[in-house]
Amino acid sequence: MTEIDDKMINQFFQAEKKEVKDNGFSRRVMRNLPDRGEKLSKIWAAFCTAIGIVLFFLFNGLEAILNILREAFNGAMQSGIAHLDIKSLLLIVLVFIGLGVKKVCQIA
Amino acid sequence: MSQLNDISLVAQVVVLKNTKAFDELVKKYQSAIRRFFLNQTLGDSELSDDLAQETFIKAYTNIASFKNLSNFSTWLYRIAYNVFFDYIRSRKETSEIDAREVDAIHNSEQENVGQKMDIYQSLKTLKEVERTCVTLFYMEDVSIEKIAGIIGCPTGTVKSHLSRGKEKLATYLKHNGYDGN
Repeated sequence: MTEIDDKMINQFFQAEKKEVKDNGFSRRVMRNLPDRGEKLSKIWAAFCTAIGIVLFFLFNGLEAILNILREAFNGAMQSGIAHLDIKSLLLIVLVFIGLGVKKVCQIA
Repeated sequence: MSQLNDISLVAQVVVLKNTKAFDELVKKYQSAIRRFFLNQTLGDSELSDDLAQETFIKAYTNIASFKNLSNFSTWLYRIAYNVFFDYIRSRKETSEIDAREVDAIHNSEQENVGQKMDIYQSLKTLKEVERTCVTLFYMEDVSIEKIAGIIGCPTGTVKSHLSRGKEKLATYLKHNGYDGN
């Protein structure tokens, strides 16, 4: 193995050394990375939901909701159903239906 | 300076889970890693990209184990080398079919000897480990000590692989009329 051979091989490889263009490779790698943050947020959300359900039943949440609804209904009846704006009521119902459909689509 | 920048980016990925910092590392090293795989796979760009992607994903999931005892590039080449040899091992079952395919390709290329000087044809004359040592040393300018760290061999073994590889390449290049000019 002579010095000339060494130089020749070096020249050959340096001449063949080319930059490989990215062409979306980095984006593809980033898209396929395991998402550690998402995993943690899912675990956290599940934990919070479980705590929420336990507290709801522990503090008799169902009865509290029924009381609120009953009071709201009684209040509405007392203030007089004749003063109710039907258009506003209809708009509120439509907004709630829209939000519900959007949520169902997201889950699907 | 570059080494400091790499350490800063790695720290951002480990501590702050900053994926943008990792994106910068991918953009910085994608060319070198993909070129490394292109040389190992003798120009199979699709396979090279798959192996390079696997390398970066492994680097991301194990980035906390980067202890800064070596350059980030050396650590990345070590992962790339392991990914490639895991792939080679997984293909051993079909090695007979591959050997037949390689022979067929080799035979058809023998007809073109002297017409085209292709780097992948020259690398085909080398064993896999010789190819790794030669391409890292001559193309990627990695020192013998670092190559030893990458392939997990003593420096003496790397020198032997380099010497045998250079000898085969010199013979091949001379045989095909290449004189470096």
